[in-house]
Amino acid sequence: MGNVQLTNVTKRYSDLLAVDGMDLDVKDGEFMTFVGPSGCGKSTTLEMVAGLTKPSNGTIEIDGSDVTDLPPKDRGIAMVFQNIALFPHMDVYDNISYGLNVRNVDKETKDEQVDRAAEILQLDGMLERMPSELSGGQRQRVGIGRAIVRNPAVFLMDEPLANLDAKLRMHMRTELQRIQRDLDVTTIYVTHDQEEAMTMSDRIAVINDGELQQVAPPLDCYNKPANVFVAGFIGSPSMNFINGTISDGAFTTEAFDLDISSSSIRTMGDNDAVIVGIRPEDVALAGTTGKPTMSRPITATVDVLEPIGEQILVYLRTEHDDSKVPTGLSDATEAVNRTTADELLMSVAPDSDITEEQEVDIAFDRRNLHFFDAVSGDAIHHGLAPAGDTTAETG
Amino acid sequence: MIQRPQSVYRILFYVATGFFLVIALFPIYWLTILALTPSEQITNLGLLPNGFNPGAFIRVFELVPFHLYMLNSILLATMATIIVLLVGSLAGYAFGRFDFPGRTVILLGVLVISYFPSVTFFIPLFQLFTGNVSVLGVSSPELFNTAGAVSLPLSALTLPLAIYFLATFYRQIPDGLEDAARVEGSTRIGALFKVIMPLSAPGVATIAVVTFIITYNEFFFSYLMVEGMANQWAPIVHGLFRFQNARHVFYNLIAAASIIGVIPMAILVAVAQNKIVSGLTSGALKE
Repeated sequence: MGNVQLTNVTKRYSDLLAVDGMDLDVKDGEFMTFVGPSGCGKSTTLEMVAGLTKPSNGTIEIDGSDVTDLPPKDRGIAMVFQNIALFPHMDVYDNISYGLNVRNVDKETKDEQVDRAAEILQLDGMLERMPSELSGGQRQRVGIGRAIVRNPAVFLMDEPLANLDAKLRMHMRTELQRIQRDLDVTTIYVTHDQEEAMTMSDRIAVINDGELQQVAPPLDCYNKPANVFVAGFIGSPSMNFINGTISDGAFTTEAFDLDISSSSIRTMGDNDAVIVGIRPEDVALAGTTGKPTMSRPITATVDVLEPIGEQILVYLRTEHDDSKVPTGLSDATEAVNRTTADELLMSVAPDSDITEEQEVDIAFDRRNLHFFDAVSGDAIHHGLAPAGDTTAETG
Repeated sequence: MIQRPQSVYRILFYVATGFFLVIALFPIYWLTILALTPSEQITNLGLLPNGFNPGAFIRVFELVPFHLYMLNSILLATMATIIVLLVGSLAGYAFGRFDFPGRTVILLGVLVISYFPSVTFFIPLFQLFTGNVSVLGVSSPELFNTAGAVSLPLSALTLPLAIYFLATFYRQIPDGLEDAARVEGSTRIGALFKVIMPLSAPGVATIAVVTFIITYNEFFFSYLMVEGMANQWAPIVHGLFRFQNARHVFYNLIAAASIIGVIPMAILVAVAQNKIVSGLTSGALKE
């Protein structure tokens, strides 16, 4: 049992603000993932929950009691580390039972607990081996065993799969989910891999520059990103962003115009700095989808093809008018790895008949367009209505 | 131009090795000769003993309780080793794993003190240990003629080396291991003794052996800080001086006792030499 509550948690390193006033409530039994680029403060936040780093400000509560000033050992937490951090001078049994030893648990209980952990993690028969004799995956399992053996209130996992090879990572990902579900323990998981975050979590906390960007279930982050950062970070390959302006019920970019008269976004009024976001999977060759929600086609030239098996990534150049790029963008939105209309990314089925330097007509799925304020970066609107009159759109 | 470099190297190797062997072993050989020669025939000695009297090695223990002096030396060295390991580990942990204001200054201070000749500390410490220093009306404890009078100053003199050495070793232990130990329920000190020290075993062993040897071999404090009775913590050096009196010096017995006194060191070094070598080199080859 254990919920974790962060209130205005801040960490300052001399002149660097690593974590800035974070408020977060992790519910009991929830699998919460902190995700963000490296150096965004997600690990620091986890270390503060663990008690390995002391927050400069704010309070941390675990299971209703304030643990801000308690050492790690008194917080009822267990942690799995990125570098696994098994004690190299102890065998598997001693590693798993370290926490029990420190607490002077009697031998019988200890054996029982270690055997249970070994069973869950399929480590039977390896208890006498030294960490150096184990494979990467086995080591990671021992690390997890050390964490679960004490029945902690909260699991903290700091990129536990980052050092494993791709195949093993997939395997351990499902293992971890199974273990977490079976034990039903509150888990805070840190990763920079948005795919890991999407697949494992009940909720995701997207962090950038020490600030929470969005806390929501994975699909909400995907479908309704709170701002341009979340939109760009969640989803792979990354979302296309194109600058534009809203005026007179129309959305104009350097490369194309959209009719927005049927959407509530119209009520937002004129805005001369808007970013529209389109995921590569919502861009398609015109006329191939049969969906009534597609926008009117625009012409583009295929630049580069990247076949990756289940799909082909197509880099497109569109004809565009640089004079329509809005000026006065803020740093917040400039910092996003924004694509422009001359490098639009589309993903298509692998059997698509398409070659480099070919001219194609493409269209966007209007339901999945995302509009952001280019100055603040915040989302303004998600999805356009199927446009009662797609014909009204101007090319 | 050297015509046959391999032969030259080999010859030079033998010359150098021979030189060091003579320097290192001749004193022991000479002590053996002295010990075997009967006391009354110790004049004009050559390279061979003037007679054969192995009884000197037994006589040593009959005349004075030399085994007690040896035991005292071993106990004093053990005490100093424990103190150095404890204090040195705590200090090494702080200096090696923490960045705190004044760290460099304090570390330099420790280093500077270690450059002082140990003799300079003797008179102040003697005053201190004989109760002649009083602070706010409280006079210092009378440590003279106790184990502390020898083992405390010698620990202090070895500590700078230990702190430097252990700090280097402890710095190399990954933070993750200490974090893991702390999350699992250890305090920082607990993590130091359960995880960091065992993982720095070669370094810790080296410091232990070096401290033991320094204390065991030390003359100055060992001689002056105690009166010389076997039951009052007097170490080997006092045992050796018991073999002379106003009229006569039993060189053969002093030599025999010296050889016996070296034996514990020889055993210790033989047992620990692998650890010492790996400790010294891995400390030098810092990653």
